[in-house]
Amino acid sequence: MQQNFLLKKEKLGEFLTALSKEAEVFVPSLNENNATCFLPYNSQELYLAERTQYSPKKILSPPLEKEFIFRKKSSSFEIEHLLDNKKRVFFGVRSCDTHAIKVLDKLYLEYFTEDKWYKAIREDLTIIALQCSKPCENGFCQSMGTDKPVGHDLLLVEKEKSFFVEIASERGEQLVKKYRDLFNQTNFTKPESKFKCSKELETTNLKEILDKNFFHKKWKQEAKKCLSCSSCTQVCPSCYCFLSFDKFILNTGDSERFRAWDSCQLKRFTRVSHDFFFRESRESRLRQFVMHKLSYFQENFGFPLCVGCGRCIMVCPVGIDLTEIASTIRGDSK
Amino acid sequence: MPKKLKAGFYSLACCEGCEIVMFDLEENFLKALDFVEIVDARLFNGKHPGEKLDIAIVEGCVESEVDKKHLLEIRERCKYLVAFGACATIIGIPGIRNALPKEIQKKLKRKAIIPVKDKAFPISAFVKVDALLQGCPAFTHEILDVFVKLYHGIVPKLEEVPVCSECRERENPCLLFEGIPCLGPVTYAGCKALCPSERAQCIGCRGFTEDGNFEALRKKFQEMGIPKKEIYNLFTYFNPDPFTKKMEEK
Amino acid sequence: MKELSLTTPALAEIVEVREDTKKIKTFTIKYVDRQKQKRFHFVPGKFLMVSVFGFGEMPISLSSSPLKTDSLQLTIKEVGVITHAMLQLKKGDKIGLRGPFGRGFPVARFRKKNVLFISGGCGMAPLRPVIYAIADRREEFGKLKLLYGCQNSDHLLFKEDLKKWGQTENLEVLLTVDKCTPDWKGNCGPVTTLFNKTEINPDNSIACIVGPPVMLHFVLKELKKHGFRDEQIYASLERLMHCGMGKCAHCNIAGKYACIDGPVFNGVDLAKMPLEEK
Repeated sequence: MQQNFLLKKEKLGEFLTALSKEAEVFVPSLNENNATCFLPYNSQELYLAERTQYSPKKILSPPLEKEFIFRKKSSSFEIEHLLDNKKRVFFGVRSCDTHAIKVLDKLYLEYFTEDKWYKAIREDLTIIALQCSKPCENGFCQSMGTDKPVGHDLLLVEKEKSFFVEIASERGEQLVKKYRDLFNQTNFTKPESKFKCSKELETTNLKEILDKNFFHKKWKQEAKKCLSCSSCTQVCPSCYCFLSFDKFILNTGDSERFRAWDSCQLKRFTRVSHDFFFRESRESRLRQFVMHKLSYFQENFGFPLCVGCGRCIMVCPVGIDLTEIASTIRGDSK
Repeated sequence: MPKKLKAGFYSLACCEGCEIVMFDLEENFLKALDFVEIVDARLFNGKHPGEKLDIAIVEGCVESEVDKKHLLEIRERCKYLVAFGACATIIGIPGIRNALPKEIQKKLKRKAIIPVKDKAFPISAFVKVDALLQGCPAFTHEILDVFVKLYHGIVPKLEEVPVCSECRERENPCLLFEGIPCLGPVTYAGCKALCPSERAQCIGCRGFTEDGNFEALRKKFQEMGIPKKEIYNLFTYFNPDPFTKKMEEK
Repeated sequence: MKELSLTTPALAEIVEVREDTKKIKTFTIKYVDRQKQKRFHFVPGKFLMVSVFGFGEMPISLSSSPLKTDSLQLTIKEVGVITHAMLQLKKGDKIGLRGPFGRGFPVARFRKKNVLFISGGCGMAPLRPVIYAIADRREEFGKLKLLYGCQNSDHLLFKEDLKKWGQTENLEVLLTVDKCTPDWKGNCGPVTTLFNKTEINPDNSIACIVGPPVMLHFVLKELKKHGFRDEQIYASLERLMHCGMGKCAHCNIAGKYACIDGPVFNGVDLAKMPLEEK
């Protein structure tokens, strides 16, 4: 019989301080510009009201990551791998973000071949999820079926003056065991959180409908507004596209290889020789984003890439809304 | 290994601030001196003026026949010409005069300066420019980068990425939601979103991207209630030429 | 072992450089690790991720005979920073190789059939191994025809090979150039103009296309006009991959990745793809 625990809210700080002594702990909090994002725990105030504006993606798949150092040795080269094996804990990850981590796991660890840079970071990562208790702005996780966390180690659910703690993995169990004196055993059952998402996206046959309406006029209309600023792909917790480039170290023959985030919203994304662009028009780039999220990815993995966090809707300066595009196209195809 | 690169620094019409920024490289400046020899520069006390160069770094824009002559002479002498800073790449501040009404422009004439068609020009209007170092002032990490690349025979190319991309990487909230007209969506990145990170709007000092959706951004500004005149001023602040015409029609 | 060769570049040495044209060179390369070279084999149409250390990594199609295992060849045209750096390399210089990646031409399925090759510019490089593979068992295949177009007569690749195959393998070669020069006696115009110069019969035939995106678009149209069905067409698509492992998504075309499901696609798949999203 699975044991459940309670963690009193006043003990939370103590718990996080203890954790940060043995690992890098990332918690949702405000940064210097008052944006909510995941920052290393340093006794700061936590932001637990709703999901953060920025996801913990940047820790799992950094915006700029050094892959190799190539050292020139007379006429040959010595190749050194740079792997990040630090121990990390994510605290207060929402359901949508745990699903985004699942997407990245599938892609980087299972699809075709595993990616060792991602694996190194992912291997020693503990995820402490936090159940949402109210709808967030623009979120539509219930429509995407991502409202129940996956792949986490512990699940916290807010219950009056404490957190109800559900153990979800062996790693989670070990963690509670280690800090047993901070947790109180309880006979309560998991509190149900009842709320309705602020947005909805009808997903039945969505892939087929979008595939059929590849040249729908809606794409052109939305593209007229689109600034191609790539904000949507940057904040998306499941956008994973990257590019790689080399850089010389000063005047030596040594060089480094980097991996950096790329975005399908930028023209250069599909450049090939002789400056030919496959997706040159804004319309085609915007379509690529929406189609990849709701249709293309599903073909290979069986579930959509979009996790319904609504961050792309929230961040878009001109108000382009993925759910609105999908529902307009669905409405017209009836 | 190739020999040291011979470099020269030149100033046309500008504040010479970009050249001063070289000192912000600090220890990297000394590292750069391992493979770059500054042969001709007023500020760095270059010892061999007039010599053939590998890299000529030119700041400032062309405002007079004197500037133009100087620039053409530099181009003759160098292998790579690098436009340094906003004035050289996109005219920048001196170019504000281009967007002014004709009668005010005439008053700006001074006796000592023989204007080229009453206007300020970026250096690319007269000579072939191999690489661009954007920004007002130019950015230190990019200067070193260009030196390293040219040393290894790579001619740096601009990547068309807007400032927003880097602003999101730095996890800033978007200024456009706070009613501040920010030119981030249409401006070249590379500055690591310096101004928006300090909650100041981007004023486009790194130049406008070719891909930018200016019409949509202008509409957004209008919706935000920014007066027409202010929108015009903002767009033409650093980038007068491409917009003077387009915006006047509106 | 498999994992290592895919994510980490393996050192390889350039043993020979041949200048094909002004901007195109063919490099003969051997892995530094002899065992690796011995195990190396590939299907025509596959590509390698080639690292020129300090300059970057790029996808390049293998252009040597798939039967030859003591070395491999890459034919590279100067188009950007990395290719420019590659063309400066000399005998003895080291590069890094990952792969081979992707899906090649299913040559075994072409057996007992006539094969029509259509190539533009550098597209001749990935087709060369296909012809080598067919030439090895020439008697098992039907008629061979090659339509090859390039910028001008200076840009023709593998002239000796084409001449040799014309004589020994009964390969019918039709050439065309985009820009006519006085010394050029052959056809002028894009590769599609060659369709009227020869008999194109879709019965029991296969068409293999490799060329720039614009050419592909028109050739597919022309083939349809001549009665080719989707399943008779194989085309290699040009995309700039950054990883080769289906992760970076630069080569994402609808639900497919050119680095895993391609770069050689069957016409049936091509028909479902938005090839030029203009």
